[in-house]
Amino acid sequence: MRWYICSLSIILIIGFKKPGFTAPTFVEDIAPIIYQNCIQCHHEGGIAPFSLMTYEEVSKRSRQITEVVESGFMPPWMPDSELTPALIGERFLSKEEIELLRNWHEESAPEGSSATPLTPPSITDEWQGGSPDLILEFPEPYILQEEGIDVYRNFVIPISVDEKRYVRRLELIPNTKLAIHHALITIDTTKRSRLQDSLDAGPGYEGMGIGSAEFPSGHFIGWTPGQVPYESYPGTSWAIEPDSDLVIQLHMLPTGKPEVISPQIGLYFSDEPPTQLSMTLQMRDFDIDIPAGEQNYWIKESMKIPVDVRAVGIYPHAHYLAKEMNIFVTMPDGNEKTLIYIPEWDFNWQSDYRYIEPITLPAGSQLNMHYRYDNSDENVFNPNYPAKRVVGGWKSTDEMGEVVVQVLVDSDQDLQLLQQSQIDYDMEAAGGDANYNYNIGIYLEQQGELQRALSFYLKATELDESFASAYYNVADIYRKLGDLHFALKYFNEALAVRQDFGMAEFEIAKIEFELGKTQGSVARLKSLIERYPDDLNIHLALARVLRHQDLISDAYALLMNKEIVFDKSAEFQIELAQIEIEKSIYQSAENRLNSILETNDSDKSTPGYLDITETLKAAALSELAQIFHSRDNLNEALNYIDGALEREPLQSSLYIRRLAILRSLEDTAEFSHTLIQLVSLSAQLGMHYQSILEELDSLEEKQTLASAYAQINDFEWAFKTADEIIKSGIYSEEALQPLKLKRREYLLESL
Amino acid sequence: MKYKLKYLPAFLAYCVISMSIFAEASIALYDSMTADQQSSDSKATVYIFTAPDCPIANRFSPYIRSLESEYSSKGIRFFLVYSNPKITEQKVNIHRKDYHLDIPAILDVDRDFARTAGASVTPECVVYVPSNNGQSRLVYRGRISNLYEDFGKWRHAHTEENLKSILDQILKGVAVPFSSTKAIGCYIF
Ligand code: HEC
Repeated sequence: MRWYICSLSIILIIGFKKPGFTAPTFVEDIAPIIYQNCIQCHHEGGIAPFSLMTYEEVSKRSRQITEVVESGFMPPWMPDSELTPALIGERFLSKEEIELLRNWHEESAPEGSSATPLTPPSITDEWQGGSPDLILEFPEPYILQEEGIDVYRNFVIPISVDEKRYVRRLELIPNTKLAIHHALITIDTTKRSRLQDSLDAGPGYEGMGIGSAEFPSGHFIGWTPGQVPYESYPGTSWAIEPDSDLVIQLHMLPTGKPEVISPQIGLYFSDEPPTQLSMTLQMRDFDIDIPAGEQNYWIKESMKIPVDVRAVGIYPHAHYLAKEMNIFVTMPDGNEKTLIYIPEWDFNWQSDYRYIEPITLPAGSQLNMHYRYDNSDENVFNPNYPAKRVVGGWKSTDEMGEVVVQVLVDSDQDLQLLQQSQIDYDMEAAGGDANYNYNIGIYLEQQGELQRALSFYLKATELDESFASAYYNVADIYRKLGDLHFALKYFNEALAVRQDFGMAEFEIAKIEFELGKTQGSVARLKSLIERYPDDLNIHLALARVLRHQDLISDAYALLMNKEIVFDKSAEFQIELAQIEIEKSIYQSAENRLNSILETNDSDKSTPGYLDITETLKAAALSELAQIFHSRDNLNEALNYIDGALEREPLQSSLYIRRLAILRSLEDTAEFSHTLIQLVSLSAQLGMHYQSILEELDSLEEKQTLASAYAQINDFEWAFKTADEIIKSGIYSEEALQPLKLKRREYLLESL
Repeated sequence: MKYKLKYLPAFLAYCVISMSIFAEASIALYDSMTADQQSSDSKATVYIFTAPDCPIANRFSPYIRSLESEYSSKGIRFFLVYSNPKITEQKVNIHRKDYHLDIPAILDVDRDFARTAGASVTPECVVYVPSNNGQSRLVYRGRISNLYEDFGKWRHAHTEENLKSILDQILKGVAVPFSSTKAIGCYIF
């Protein structure tokens, strides 16, 4: 025993008295720590407020550095690295490193010398993955105010791709120090974010909700300063479609002076579509209700995992009051495994995390989320002073408790089971919360499950009778399902509960027109134009209604009046060109249409039309075909219409126009060929028997239609056409003979 | 507190003159101030220690500006103090321009002022009032407000405006005893 104590004291002497102790020096001890852990952010032009590259820069802050590493504030990293499985880009200092920093500071931060001169590693603020395949930028920069705490804003950037592409990597260059703290990257295919953007002054729109935008299916993508750039798990690239928008939500922190915000987003494409199924599991608690002063408010959520999955990423999320987060799995054998543990949550450093090795969750596990909140005055991050009751919601002063886990799934069947488990969780969790029901509706709608989405939206309107967007979405689904009367009813409900709901009123005007209530529609559109004088879509809609009423000159005057305002819109130019064609102002129409075809969207240096798409180019070609047709230049007309069809092979009006040109050319063989194409695509084109028949002029053409149907073995419609012809009384027996025989065969067979 | 703020009035005179000549607020070297301490026409003088590369100090800029515009018309003078061996007039001007701080500045290159006033971080403020014996008396040293509780721990909005409440007391004419608080920020030494 004596011996033991004795040896211990020797150790103590060695450890603390440090005989022969030499003070740590910058070149030998400190620089390696700083270069390894700090300079990714702390370099000239980096996102941290000052550089820590040179001896001078580090030594003058030695005291503050010691304090921030001891408190754990720097390097910024919230997850507990002992309990949490290894994460990509993990940042933490060992106890020894922290002690070295303290000793160095206490010994007056000596520089020391070394035989080889110290060369700091080079750090780039450029793209880390080489030059991206597509760089997206803000249409115009946003100016962040100088004062205040948090600003949340969503920016809508059109994605200019000609065809579906798969994204494997995404980088963000903030182009500003300090101001951008966090970004969420989502995709909107509905154009609703654009509308929302246009209703809010300045670039982007305010708020923490992302509206109709969504994470790409099966993924979540965030960005935080200094994070290792996002790279999708091998085999799980995600698709972007032409004509969709990237909606980026920025959490910004004013710095004391106005900041110009205009980050760049670089997308890296993969040639391969995803080969690995993935899905995001989400749990959230919207029933949060924390009394003022409560320091230990817990939420606990759990979800069954019915199949084997592997977790590759995790995004825990709460607002300011959360303190402690534990997300863990209960294995079928009862053992627990931590997915992430955050002992001291700080909203300002929220991030998404990816595992170095996927974590296996066997079938029969349970995913758990336990969060603790502190709603007392002790919590510095408490947005309310004095503390007051806080409930769940989307505003930053509301509270949230949510986790998204990205998992890999082995088979389609497993994926379905997992989706069902997610829906079961949602149904149970939604209970009596209007917002929650609404959000599930959005989720289901995005999955294409319209009927189920409808029932959640309707539930939301029952729970909250003034829920304007829920009524709007109900209406929107009814419209998609083809029930215009119900659509109209619910758009009206939306407008009734929110009088200034311009989008709802616009939809009402469009449906009124479709239902033949033209006068009402015109009046509504005119009053909308008074309120939204620079809205393109309302102008186009009114022009179309006026044209329908044969008020061509009124439509012409309406658009000409706005020619300067909308001069960057290809859609506008086409509408105007169509009107000019109707008024026989061919030359001007031709110029407009050619200018659209000349716009090269990949060439950013010539400012062309902002909304240019293949569909609009096809429309321009089709109108040019019309012009040449009316000039009797039929071959040229045919060339143009074929150019249009090449770009837009699923547009029925293009086939009709082609038929008309062929009719003038008297090319019956090609006419019949086009008709066969039309009927074989009729389901995709949304053009059916009656509407095709209406486009046909003569008995011969109707006979051609009958044989076209017969050609594709669609005898039901072939016979129907034949009946139609027979009813008219004049027909050629010869032409119909084969059909009659066929019908006999058919009837016999079915007997 | 041994230190007597003996150069103050001459320094003020310098500022007033230079302010009337240049639109920009003045800069003076701390060393260049020479004069006695007999009189001061202001009710109090606030020195705010700041630094161009200190994010915490910078976040306070709009608030400093609003305090200055509210209280300078009530007879209280404001100065920014840059205590840093590497500071230059040019750096100060760029900083004040970036953060719209149209307030006279003192270049405390040797950090003597910081040492004597007892300021150790940026942002930190010291407040002097003229006293009966004609000398200046330090009544407050510390944080501007409690916006920051620690590095990385800042409130949504301050709940205690320390500097402002000291100035309000001074303006009320009540006797203000010396008090101090701990300021959070970037170290001067
Ligand atoms: C991920 C990027 C990142 C890394 C890595 C990082 N820092 Fe920082 N650091 C920041 C940012 C951003 C701030 C500014 C915080 C604020 O005030 O908003 C900061 C602030 C600081 C401050 C000033 C404290 C304050 O409240 O302003 C010090 C000192 C510091 N860092 C030291 C370090 C050291 C030492 C390391 C390495 C051990 C390090 N940092 C690693 C981003 C980083």
